[in-house]
Amino acid sequence: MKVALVGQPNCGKSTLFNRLTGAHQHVGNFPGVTVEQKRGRLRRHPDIEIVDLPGLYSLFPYSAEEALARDFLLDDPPDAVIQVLDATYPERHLYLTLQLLEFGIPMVLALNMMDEAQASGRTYDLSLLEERLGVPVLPLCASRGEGVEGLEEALLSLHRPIPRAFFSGDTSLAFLLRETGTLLSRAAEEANLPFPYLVSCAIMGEESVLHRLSLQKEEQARLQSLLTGLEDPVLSLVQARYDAVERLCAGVTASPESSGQNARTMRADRLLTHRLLSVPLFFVVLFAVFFLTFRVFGAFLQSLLALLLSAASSWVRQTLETIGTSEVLTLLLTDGILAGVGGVLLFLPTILVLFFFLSLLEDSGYLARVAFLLDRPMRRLGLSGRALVPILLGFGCSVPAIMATRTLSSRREKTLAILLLPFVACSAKIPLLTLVCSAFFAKDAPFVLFALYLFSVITGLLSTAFLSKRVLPGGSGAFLLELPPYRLPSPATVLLHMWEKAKEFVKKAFTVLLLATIAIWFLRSFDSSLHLVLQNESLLASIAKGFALLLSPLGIGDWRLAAALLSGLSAKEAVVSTLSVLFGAGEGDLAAVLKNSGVLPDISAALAFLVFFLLYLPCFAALSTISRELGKKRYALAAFAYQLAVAWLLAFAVYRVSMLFLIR
Amino acid sequence: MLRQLSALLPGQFAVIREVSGEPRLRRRLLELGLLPGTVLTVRKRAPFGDPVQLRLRGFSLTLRASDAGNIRVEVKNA
Repeated sequence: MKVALVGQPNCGKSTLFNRLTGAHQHVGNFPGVTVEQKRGRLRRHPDIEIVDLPGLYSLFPYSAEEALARDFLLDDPPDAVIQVLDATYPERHLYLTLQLLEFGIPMVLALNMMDEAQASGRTYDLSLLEERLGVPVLPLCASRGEGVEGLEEALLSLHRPIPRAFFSGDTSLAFLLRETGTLLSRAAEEANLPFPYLVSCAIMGEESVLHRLSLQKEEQARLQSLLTGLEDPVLSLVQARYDAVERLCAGVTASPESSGQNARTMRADRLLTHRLLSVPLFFVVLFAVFFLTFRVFGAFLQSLLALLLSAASSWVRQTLETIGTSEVLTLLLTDGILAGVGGVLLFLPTILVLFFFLSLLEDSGYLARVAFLLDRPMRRLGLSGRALVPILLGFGCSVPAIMATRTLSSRREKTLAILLLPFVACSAKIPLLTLVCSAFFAKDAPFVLFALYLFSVITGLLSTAFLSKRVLPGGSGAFLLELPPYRLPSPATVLLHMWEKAKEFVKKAFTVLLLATIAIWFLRSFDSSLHLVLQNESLLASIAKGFALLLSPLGIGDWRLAAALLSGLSAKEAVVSTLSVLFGAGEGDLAAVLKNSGVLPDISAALAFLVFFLLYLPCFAALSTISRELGKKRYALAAFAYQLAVAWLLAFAVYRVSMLFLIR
Repeated sequence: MLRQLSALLPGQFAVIREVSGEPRLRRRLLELGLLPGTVLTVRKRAPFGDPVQLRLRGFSLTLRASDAGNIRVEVKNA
């Protein structure tokens, strides 16, 4: 049995999904954070599969993401739907309920945040609401897990809702509905689509669905003339639905005068969206996140882990020596795998701390405020405030960030945002950035790191400004954004999220990175006729030397750097593991080895290497996501060529300019 | 007298009278509950002067002045 989880943004849908399935997926407070289709099975009833659909306000979509959810319900109808509603203010959610009922799918309503609603003085007559709607209605508090079992029980005994008319509307709307129904019945049966919803689509002008009907010329003309018979069919239908919701709620529930939740949010917003203080405050928050991540928690946890790892690796070395394994195997295990994978695992704490802060910013509802605050400056770049959400997520990982661009309302803005994201340094770049910075800048490393982040973001913004003026001219779409009430994310949710990230990272370390490390080790140990050779004559050297020619004008022509950058296409952390293998350095001493080897002869070369690394192509996972979201291979190729060209030119400029200043 | 929503100042109450504009945007505004007869308050403007934050039907919505211009309202208090 397949059950779809449907609801408006910020109704707690993702929290419920976690409760139901125990699958630990991302929970956000920003409208439309669920960008992928998430699936999971009920813990107690594994035969029931839950699909978490993106949040949507209405079944007449306004963003690509809403269209995705609607098309899922049409093309792949689930056996049942759970609609999650916000019990603190159910009216607008019930508007969606009335639309969902038109799909004729068995359905249950889950009134979430019941505890908050009751605290604000709202009461419910649930059995009366059930009776009026004809579907079960259950109270829920997803964040505390209350009511989840009852919901699961209800799923086992659902039946198709009996179609009922919730509104007759004024007589002219009723006439239009009836006549449109008669007109469409033949084509609807052919197309096998839910009939009441099709009638609504005809009235609401939802062309994307009407196109699926094979309407004849006369039928289309008749539909047009029917629609012109009403002064404003869209307004009439929406109004009739809101009136129906009002009748549904009468005697069931009434909105309290004011809720504590609202007062708290207003107080917080007095500061967080203050006319003068809010924007500086945002930059303080960003800086604090950066500082806490890299300087305080990250650095501390990292040094702890380093101790642990070096103890583990010396133990392995000793054990291998005592049992006397073959030389090649010992070399592979110590120089290859331990050095490579261990060198990357070191950065896990820093990355987790960064994800912790990002999810806090997002789930609390603060990111939506940032989108509101900075919409106007973003518009000058051809983007909107909404685009800040994928951009900030991009500091974590580019892949979900690229998918989050689906929440943007116009195609053009989505393209611009996707082209901006490779300039945002993802967390996988942290290992190499910190490594090179600490090798060459010692105490100043955190500041150089911050400057590099700033540099890449500014480059990205300038690039977007250029692209939006010269390559993709046009206006930005409308900006409609709900500011959800501030909610403290539950510790369980945040911890689950970090646990997910840690699992993902460790998995990556032992799959992609392990394979890349082994591959690099073999390529640098053997030549084309599989003889064990010095690494200068290895297969890897001959591959990388070509790429190195391209990099030599940037002062980074050593083939080992080129090889590391190439391996970075599998995953950015691989640059570090490859360098460890090529320089035969362990977890702790790679920085010193790099500096003393003279592979980066001076600070200018180090900076050029960092800049090129920051801006060149993203990893394969991100590349394929970009290619998929841009739609056409041609665009993707052009985007990658552009990205490489910008990286090369800027690294060249940084190299030359810094030489002027530094060598004297 | 009807005025454009974008012309209202923070703190003002108004009743929506007309919603116009590009069909898809208009449909969405109506569906979000910006219907003729709905009471709303203008909460505040973003630091750079745009967008504006509105409060209606128990939730906060932000809109740009260029989109809010599609909504004509009757101001309830000055």
